[in-house]
Amino acid sequence: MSRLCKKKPSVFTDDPLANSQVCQKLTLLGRIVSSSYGPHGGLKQVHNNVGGHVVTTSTSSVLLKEIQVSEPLLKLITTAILNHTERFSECGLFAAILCLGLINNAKRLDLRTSVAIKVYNHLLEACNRYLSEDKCICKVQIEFSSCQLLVTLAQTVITSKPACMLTSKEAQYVSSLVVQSFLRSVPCDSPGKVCFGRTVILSIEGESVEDSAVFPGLLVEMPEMLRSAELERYGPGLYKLVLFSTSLAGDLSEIGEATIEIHAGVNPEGMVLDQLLKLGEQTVRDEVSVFACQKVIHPVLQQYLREHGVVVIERLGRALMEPVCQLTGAQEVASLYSPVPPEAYGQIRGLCVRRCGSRELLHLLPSGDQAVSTMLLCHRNETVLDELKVVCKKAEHVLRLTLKDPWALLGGGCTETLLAAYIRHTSQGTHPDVLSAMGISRSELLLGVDAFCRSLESVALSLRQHGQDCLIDLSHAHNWLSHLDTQGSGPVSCGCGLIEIKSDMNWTPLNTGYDPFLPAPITNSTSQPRVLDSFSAKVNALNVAVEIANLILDVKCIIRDVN
Amino acid sequence: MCVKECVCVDASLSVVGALERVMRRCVGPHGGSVLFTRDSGGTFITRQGQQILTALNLDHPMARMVLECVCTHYLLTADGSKTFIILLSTLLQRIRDVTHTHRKTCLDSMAAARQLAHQLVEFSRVELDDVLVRSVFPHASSLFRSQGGAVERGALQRLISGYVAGRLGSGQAELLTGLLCDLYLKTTCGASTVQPIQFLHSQFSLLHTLVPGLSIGQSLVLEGLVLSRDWSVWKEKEEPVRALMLCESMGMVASGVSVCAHQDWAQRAEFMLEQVWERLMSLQVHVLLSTVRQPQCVLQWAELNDTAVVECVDPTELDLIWQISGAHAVTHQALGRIVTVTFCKRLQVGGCRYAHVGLHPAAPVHAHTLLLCAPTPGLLQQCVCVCEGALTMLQRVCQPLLRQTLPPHQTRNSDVCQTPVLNHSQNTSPVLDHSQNSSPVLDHSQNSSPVLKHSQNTPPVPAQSDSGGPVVCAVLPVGGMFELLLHDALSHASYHGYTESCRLLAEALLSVPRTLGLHKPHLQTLPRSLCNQRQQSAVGSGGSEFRSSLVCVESVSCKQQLVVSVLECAVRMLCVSAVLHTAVTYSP
Repeated sequence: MSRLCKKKPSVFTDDPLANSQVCQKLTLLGRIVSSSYGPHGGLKQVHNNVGGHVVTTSTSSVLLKEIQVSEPLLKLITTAILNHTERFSECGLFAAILCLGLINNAKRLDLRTSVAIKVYNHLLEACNRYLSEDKCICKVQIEFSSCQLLVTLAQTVITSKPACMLTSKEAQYVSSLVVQSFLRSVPCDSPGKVCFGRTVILSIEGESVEDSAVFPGLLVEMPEMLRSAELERYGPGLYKLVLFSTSLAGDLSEIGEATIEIHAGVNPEGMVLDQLLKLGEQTVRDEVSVFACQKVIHPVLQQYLREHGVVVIERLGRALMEPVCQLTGAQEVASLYSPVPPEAYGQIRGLCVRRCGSRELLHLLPSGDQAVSTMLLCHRNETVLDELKVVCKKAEHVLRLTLKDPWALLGGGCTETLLAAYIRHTSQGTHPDVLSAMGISRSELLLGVDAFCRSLESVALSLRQHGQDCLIDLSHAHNWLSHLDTQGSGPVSCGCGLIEIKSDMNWTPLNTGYDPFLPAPITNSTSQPRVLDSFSAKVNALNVAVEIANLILDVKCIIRDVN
Repeated sequence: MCVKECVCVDASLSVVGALERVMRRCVGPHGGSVLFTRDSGGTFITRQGQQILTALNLDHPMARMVLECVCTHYLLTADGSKTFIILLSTLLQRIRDVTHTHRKTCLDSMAAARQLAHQLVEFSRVELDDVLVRSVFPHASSLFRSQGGAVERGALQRLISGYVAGRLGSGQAELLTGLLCDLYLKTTCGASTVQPIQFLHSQFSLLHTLVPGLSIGQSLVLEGLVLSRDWSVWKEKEEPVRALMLCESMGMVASGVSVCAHQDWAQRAEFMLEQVWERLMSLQVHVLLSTVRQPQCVLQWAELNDTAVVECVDPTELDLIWQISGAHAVTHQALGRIVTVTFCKRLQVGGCRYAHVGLHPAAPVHAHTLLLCAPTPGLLQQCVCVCEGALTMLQRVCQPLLRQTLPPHQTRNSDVCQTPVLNHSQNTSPVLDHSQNSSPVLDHSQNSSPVLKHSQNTPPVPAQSDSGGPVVCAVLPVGGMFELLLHDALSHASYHGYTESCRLLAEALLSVPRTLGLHKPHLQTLPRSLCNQRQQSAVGSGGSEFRSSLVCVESVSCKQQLVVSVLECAVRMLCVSAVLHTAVTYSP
């Protein structure tokens, strides 16, 4: 009873968005995310005050996980963005900048929250409609007949993460590797149901990036007792493989909690070992060449198998089981008491040794065109290697998303400026019925439109480096960055690289206003975009950002349980 | 050690007033929401009055008593907690005003207030039903088109959107309303019964799946049931197959007997399994639904024999499948429960995989699952709460239908004929009629808040009072229509012995439309629809019709319950004359 204490009343905060402390925190988060955005974004080093692991990153999924926020409103934003990046891998910072921009601009322009929410919802619908239309000029169709656009897409992901510390040549090399592994994971003409392949990423520290490579098949740790000379007889040809998922260590671990009664004169360990050896005999009789197990194999069995020239791989681990099944067509054998059914055997085309730096790896070659490959990533130190690994996974995910929606959006801030220009133009002629249905006046709508478009443009503005200017051209509404070194001279090319500079172009700084115009499509251009963003990821990020901004604008008070 | 705190009306009023100030921020479709952080650190967003009050961890004993009353009311109707506080506060204020003018001392006024409150409760018990039948139900319409309870999408949508609009942001509310209508209509599969509502209400926790990280627009209603787990062994089945439900491991140690380590024990266990396999094959079972983890050998067998397996299913999910399957389910002596599933799919959404099985549409229900997506878990939770509340409310609305036990020829045929039904085909805007004498008109001259002024010359028209009873599942437009009608009835008719209390209640009721109207840019819609109603029922053209399809509706029975609950709460509060704070010292 002495432990029982009364619950303290909750703390009530009224109108949190008017609170200066909350505003400060929102601004700070805004500064953190917008300064990390893009290929020239600043890296953030995160460490806690008692020492420990230091993280250097500019990736939203890593960064937001590391920063601990206590303010409930900010927590709402960060969890929403982390959830988004978990699903789509990309555009987390885009969503964060946009969301904070929307909140900020609604407050700055002194919009009533209910009006802001309605207008934002209305404009989001307009954006979604426009982006799904065929005549939308922000998007590019991905054609799988050439991999140029795919490489561009992967390269955009990789170069937008400066914490990988890659030179442009290295970035290009890694993006080509990612595309290669992606293409390998798409099965060719397999009959029946198409099942996606997979890429296993292996990382090796201390080697140069150029040593990274993609291999068909799987690379596993070299078994300790295996000599590379023994592998010479596994040249091209078909070899049988058996794969166990149960422990072959000879213990009775599978029994679990049950009590065991042992009759006099019975030796359970001996019995299990006998059973194991029977299995060994069967596999030798069936001419199995590779004997693999997820868990530990009894040394006696190992010895027996090795004597008969079978390659033994133990402790594969759960993560590799499915790739091995997919690669070889084997089925996991779970019981050691019944003979291995013949259909459970898998096949490989050969075995060889790969050396990478100090490590030796055993390479299982696929027998057919199974879509399993291994990506070996090398980098100079652990921190950058971690980031590179995350980024490569993201890039491959982004490429996979194109299979569902074969589109990409123009990168380099051009999509944002284009969308903003389109929204500004179309909302000029909003029908009065639409306004009365929403219950707002025209001037309120225009204020809301301005807030929305400025927020979109603020994402494009985050791309500039210190001392640069962002410009928008008044015919195609693309985003242009001015020269860094020579002040006052015009821009070189637009953010996505689709438009070349022409003599009759007019620019205006992005953060000043301009008269609404309908962005013109680009005709007879031969150039390919140099920067592309994932379509699905960006569309979802846009939706999430607006939804969260609306949610936060709607919050009238915070009740905090302080028990 | 005790500290005595005298409680007079003022004290109660100040407590309720404080609560009211919190509530007013969130009332109606234009109110805001409250972000609530738990002591565990989780965040949660809500607009539900009862949840906000609970979250406040109220300290004052009077406030806790109010919360208790609100929770009791919420359990009954899942609606009206915010209106509850506003109405209670205004009512107490009126009582205070009346009692203070006559008496000097606190005790005197307290006694008078108590007497008034008792009178009000008595009135609500004796007369309120009659008042509603005479003056509110004639203006209401029935939710259902036919007697059996078949409901049209339009009518359902209005009822649900009226509920959801006050609890979610505008865009989300629209989407969720559509989803809930879909869920209901697909679950009923066109049948005209109200059992599906009971089914949905009681089983909703199993009939939805949450997906964080996607935008809310990607939510949808799926046929069949989505289990909380993924297939351990996945084989897609397009055609109906038999499924076996397992509650224990099929392995050798399953039954809990000790393992006897004599010769060949392992082989024997293997042999026993073989027998089970043969039995499964002979029964043509191709799906295993297990509540526990199965040993690897079972999975391996399934892999080789084209059988899908899902492990660690929630037992309540299996019970639900068993319950829905009805005629398609059989019990096998040795193996257990066997049902038929129409398909087995793997649902891959938002980075998670779930087992997805289809079930035969059995008599009253066809199982469907609501897949809810939202960017954050907090928002998801809010949506779930709103869905649960909406279903409770629906169930409450349909209660009269459930209670109907009369044979068909006696079930108020006349009533059904005359029951006005929501008209879905007409889409015209509300007709303006300012010349109507009997309609209350807005008086803008006095202050900015809308005050309703009645012309004195017309008595209320008791239409349909002889039709034999109130409308079944009656609904009225939202936004204070019920309160206005009741106010009208109470202030014009004289009820013997209750004159003063009726006047009090009538005045207090006005606070609700006033509060709702404060946020509204277009105040005129409310009286307009009211006068429209009046005109039609007076003419007796066979029922009132809501002219605009955009009008959301709310249930009259929930509203009636609200008035009763508020009056009871007021009595409870006024009966308290002192609070004793006892200081308890704990012995170490």
